[in-house]
Amino acid sequence: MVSLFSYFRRLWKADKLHFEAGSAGVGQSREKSAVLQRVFVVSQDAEFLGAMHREWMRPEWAQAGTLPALETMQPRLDVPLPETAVAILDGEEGLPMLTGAVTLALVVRAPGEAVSEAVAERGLLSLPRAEGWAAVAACLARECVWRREAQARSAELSLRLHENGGDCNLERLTSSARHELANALTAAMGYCELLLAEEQLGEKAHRWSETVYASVRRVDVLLRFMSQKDAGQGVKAPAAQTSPGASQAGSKGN
Amino acid sequence: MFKKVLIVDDSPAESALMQSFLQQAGYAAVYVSDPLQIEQTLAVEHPSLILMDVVMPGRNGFQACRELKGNDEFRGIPIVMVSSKNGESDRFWATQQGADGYVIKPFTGQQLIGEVQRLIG
Repeated sequence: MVSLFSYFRRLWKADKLHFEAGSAGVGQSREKSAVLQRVFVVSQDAEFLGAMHREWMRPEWAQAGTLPALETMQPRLDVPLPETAVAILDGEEGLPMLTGAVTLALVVRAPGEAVSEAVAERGLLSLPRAEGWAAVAACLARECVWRREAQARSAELSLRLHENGGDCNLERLTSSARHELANALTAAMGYCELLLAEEQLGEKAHRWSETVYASVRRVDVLLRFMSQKDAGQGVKAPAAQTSPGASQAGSKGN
Repeated sequence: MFKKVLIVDDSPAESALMQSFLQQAGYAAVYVSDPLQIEQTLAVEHPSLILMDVVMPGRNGFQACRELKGNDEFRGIPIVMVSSKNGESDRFWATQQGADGYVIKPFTGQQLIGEVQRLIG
């Protein structure tokens, strides 16, 4: 049993137990991604099936995470197991069902029986049907299901992180542009006000200053409106003040 | 005697503008462009209020406000943040740092002086 675990751990560390995360789908719930991972028990032996079921249904594991229901099958030549399968085979009868790659195939062999060439050649895990075999098989299957689920979630989170990173960059750019605009407007608007307050300003210069001030105020109002929209506040675009004096008469004083 | 206002802003154009508005409204204004020099200036000038820009190199306005409000010597001086950041969260954050007022850029003379008058009369 120890050597089996060591073997499994080596595969794990070497990242050879790698599952295609994409098949679980981005944005799917934990339950949905777990359901995609199917666990098959291939046996004709009721005792074998019963032992696996008991281990699989242990309440402590149900609390630890979502697990798909076990699917029991009799060995059949014409039914290949899907690639996303975790397969627990009772002896070698079910080997022909492994037509392609599967997530995990575990062959439970009769007590005292050596690992056959067929199993060894295909690099399959093999476990003697000795005391506690069902617990070990269930444990390996569970770990595969959860690891695949974790990979799917990791892929999903990476994608979200990437997308949010893009949003953040855009937001920084917008915020920076807004800041620069506001600074420029502060100076333009403020100096216009000061100019308009100059008593010695000629009539023509005064009129032109008023025109500049009105234009700057329109940009100011637009900028504020856009900022509020950006912040998700449903606001109506306010009317621009066209002269500094207009703000005296009960304006909203933004 | 004129009440004195300290302007902390790294932009000379905006500082000069605020200075003009303040002087027109009857306040004396002093100006510091380096946010790291605020404490030294306060110790010499003893202003009644601070107008503080937010985005500045070396030390931002929120940070400076937080540190001044944590300093027994200066915490009594009202601070008005002058910023282009106009979200509710920005105002809230300024309040959290101890700011007494908030003026959004671009501002009119009336808005700026209105906030100063509200705090120091």
